Amino acid sequence: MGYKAAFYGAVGFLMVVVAVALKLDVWDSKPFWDEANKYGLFFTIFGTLFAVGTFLYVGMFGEKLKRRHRIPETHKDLQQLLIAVRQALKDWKGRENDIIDLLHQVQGHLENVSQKLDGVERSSAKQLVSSISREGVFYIGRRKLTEEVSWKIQRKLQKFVTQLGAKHQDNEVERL
Amino acid sequence: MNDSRFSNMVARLIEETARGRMSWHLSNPPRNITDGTEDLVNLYFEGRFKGTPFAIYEIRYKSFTDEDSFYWSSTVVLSILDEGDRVLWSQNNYKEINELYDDVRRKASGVDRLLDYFR
Repeated sequence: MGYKAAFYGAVGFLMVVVAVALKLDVWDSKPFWDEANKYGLFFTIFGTLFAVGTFLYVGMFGEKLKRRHRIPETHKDLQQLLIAVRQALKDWKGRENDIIDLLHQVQGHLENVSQKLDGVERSSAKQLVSSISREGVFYIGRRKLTEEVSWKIQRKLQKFVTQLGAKHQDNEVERL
Repeated sequence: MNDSRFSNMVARLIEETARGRMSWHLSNPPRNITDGTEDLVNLYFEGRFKGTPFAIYEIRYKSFTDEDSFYWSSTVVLSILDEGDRVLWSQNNYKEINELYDDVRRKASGVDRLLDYFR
């Protein structure tokens, strides 16, 4: 109903403008077109700036969306890997190589997701990557992966998965 | 919504149980969880971590679809007890609790020792 009224109103207004223009004979009036050119130029500049702004905003928003989309996926993958790591740790003897393989998978996910995180989660991801790579003092040599060390990594991974889940929930709340 | 601190705590109990630093023993459920209810307690285990007594058990309960028709459902519960073995606080519906319950049963059954025999 409102749209219809607005449409008929706009048509009526246009008819009045055309009638006035014909009556005043503005088509051959140079001052009129000079004035109209000024407004035209203003709206062209304004429209271009607005279009550029919209383009940049959409680009930024798309990047943000991509980040948010990757977090729940990685969270799910890490949750499954956490369970697999824990199952392997319960049977430590004879499964050291399985644990190393699983931890490398975890490391890959962490390195990937840490680029999409900031704040506490990013620093936790980096700490965890450092724990998994078991760098020695001043990054010289590598510490041996013992049962004790593996369980400590598992604990840190559990904490990180929890943080990532909370981050995902925060993003969902923000989206709503 | 799940409490992340609780998940972390149960994950720690899983670790302590797996490493043999926390032992669980089969026991009878206290009356305050069996009296006045039709729920059935399956296996009831008690253990202690950092001085706090814990219990883990499976409850089977009736899920009613109508006034007269029902089916049996089950859930695993982790509880904190007082020194008189009364249940003070309980929590369920966490996948870590199910994992812990499986581990506790496995430890209690001694199946690992038996399987080692066939290694």
